[in-house]
Amino acid sequence: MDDRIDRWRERAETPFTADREALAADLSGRDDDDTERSVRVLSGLGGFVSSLIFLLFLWLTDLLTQPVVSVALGLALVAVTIWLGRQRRQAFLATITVCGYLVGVGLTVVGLPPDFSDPQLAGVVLALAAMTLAATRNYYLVFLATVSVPACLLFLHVSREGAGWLWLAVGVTLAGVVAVTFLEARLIRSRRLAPVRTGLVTGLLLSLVWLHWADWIVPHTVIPGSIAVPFLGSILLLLLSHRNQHALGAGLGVSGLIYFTGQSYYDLRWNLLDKSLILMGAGALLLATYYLIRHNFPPREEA
Amino acid sequence: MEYLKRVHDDPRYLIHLLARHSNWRREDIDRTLRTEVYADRGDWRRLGQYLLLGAGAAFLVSGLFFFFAYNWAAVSGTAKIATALTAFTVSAAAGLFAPLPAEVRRVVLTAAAVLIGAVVAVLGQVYQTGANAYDLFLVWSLLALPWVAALHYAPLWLLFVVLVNVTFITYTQQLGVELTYLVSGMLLFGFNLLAWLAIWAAFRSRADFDWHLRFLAFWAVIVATVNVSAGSYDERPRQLLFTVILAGAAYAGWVLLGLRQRSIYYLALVGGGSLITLTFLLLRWAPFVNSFLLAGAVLLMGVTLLAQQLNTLNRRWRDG
Repeated sequence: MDDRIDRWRERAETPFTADREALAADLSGRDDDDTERSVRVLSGLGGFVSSLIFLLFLWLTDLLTQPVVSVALGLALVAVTIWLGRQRRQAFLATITVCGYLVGVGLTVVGLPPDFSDPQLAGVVLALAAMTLAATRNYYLVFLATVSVPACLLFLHVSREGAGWLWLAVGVTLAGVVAVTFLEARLIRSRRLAPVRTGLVTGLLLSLVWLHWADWIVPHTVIPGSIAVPFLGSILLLLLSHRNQHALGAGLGVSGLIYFTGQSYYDLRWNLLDKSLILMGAGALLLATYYLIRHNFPPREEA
Repeated sequence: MEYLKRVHDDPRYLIHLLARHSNWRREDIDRTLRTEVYADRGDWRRLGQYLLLGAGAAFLVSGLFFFFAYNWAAVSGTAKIATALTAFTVSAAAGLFAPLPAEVRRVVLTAAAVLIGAVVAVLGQVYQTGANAYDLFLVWSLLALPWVAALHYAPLWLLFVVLVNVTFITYTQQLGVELTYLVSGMLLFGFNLLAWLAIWAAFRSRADFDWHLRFLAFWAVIVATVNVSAGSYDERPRQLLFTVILAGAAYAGWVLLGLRQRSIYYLALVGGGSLITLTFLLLRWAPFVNSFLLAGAVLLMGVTLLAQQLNTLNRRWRDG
C-alpha cells in the first residue's frame, strides 16, 4: 500500500501529505471495514428477522397497547442503538444494532396516538432517520436510515396520499444514485458514503418494483409509462453502477431488467402479439447492433 | 507493516482511506478514481457487448414465446409448428455449424435449448393434448439434457436446473397430491443437492461455475429451511427426519468445503440457515408466549457470535 500512496503522490498535480499514523489507527481501530459481504448480509438479515420476532412478542404481550410505554421504550431503544453504533466494534454489534433500530422505530410508530395521521407517522420516521444520519456513521444504521426515506414515501402512496409520492420516491433515489456516482470524489471523506450508496441503490430498485405493482397495491393508480420507467430505471442503475464499478448496483440493475422483462408477460394493458413483436424487433435490433460493432471494431485479440 | 496485511487489495478502499487522512486535492482524487477504479473503455465495451448479445438474444427468444402464447387464430396450427421448428433449427444449425465467435456460439446454442420449450409448447397447444403444465417442463428438460451435457456453459446449466425445479413443483401441485408437502420438499432439496454435487464434481475448478454453485447452494438451503421450519407445524413432522438427516450431511459437507477452500460464503450460508431453522423450531415447540422472546434472543445472539467467528476466521486466513 505504501507503494501505491507514493505512486498516487507522484501523479498528483498538487502534492499532498498523508497522516500515516491516523491512517494506521483508522485501519486497526475498526472491525467493520474488512467484513465479508456475506457476513454483512447475514448480520443484517439476522437483525431484521429477530426484530420482527421481538415486535411480535411485544404485540402478543399487549405491551404495545400502552402508547406512552411503547413510544418511550422505542425512542430509548433508538437512542441506545445510535450510541451502540458509535462504538468501535461495529461488526460485532451489527446484528444488535439493526434489530434495536428496527424494534425502536417500530415501537415508536405503533405507540403514537391513533389521531396521528399517516403523513405525520411518515414524518416521525423521517425525523428519526435524519437524526440517525446526523448522529452516527455506523454502516447498518446509515443504510437503514437511507432506505427508510423511499420507504416512507412509498408508505404515503399506499396510504392514499396520491401517486406523486411514488414518483417522488423514484425521483429522490435516482437523483441520489446519480449524485453519489458523479460526486464520489467530493463526498469521499465521509464514511457515510458507502452505506448511503447501498441504501440508495436498494431504495431505487424497491421503488421501481413498487411502481410496477402500483395499480395492484393501490387500485386505480394511474401511472403513465409504468412499463417503460422500471426498465429505463434499471438500465440507468446498471450503467451508473458500472461507470463507478459498483458490483451491488450493477447486480440489482441486471436483476431489475430480468424481472421486469419477465413481468411484462402478465401486463394486460397490451396484448401479447404487440408485446411479442416489440420484443422480437428490439432483440433483432440489439443483435444487429452487436454484429455491426463486432464486425467493424473486432476485439484486439482477434483483429 | 503489520496493519497493512488486513487491508483488502482494493484500490477504491485505499483511495477512500487515504482521502480521509491526507490533504489530497479533490481533482487529483477524481483522476485517480477514474484511472484506477472506474470503468475504462474496455469495461464499457465488454458491458455493451454482453448487453447487446445477452439482452438481444433474450428479447428475441422471449418475443417468440409471447408470440406462440398469443395463440393467434389467423395463423394455422401447421404454420405455428413450422415457425417454432424453423426458429429452433436455425439457431441450432447456426450454433453448431456457423463460423461464430465462441461466446456468440454458446449464447445461440442456449437460445436453441430454450426454443425446444417453444416447440413443445406449440405442439401441446395445436394438438390440445390436454397435458398438464409439468409435462411441458418435463419433456423440455429431457430434450434439453443432451445440450446441457454437450455444452459446459453455466447459464445453460442454470436454465436446466430451473426447468427441473419447475417440473417438480408443477408436478407436485397438479398430480403429486399423494406426496405430502414434507416429502415433496425433501425430494426437491435432494434434487438440488444432487445437482450441486454433479456441478461441483465436474466444474469446481472453473470460475464461471462458482456463482452457479453458490446460487444453487443458497436455493437448496432455502428449500431445506422452509421445509423444516414450516414442516414442524405439520401433523406428522416425523416425515421430516430424512430432510433433517440429508440437510445435516449437506451442511457438514459445505462447512468442510468452506474451511478447506477458505470460503466464508458457505459457512455464513449454513450458519444462517441453521439458526433460522432453530428459531422456528423453538417457536413451534416452546409452548409459551415468552418463547418469542427466547427465539428472538437465540437468533440475535447466534448471528452475532457466528458473524464474529467468521470475521475472526477470515482475518486469520488473510493474515496467515
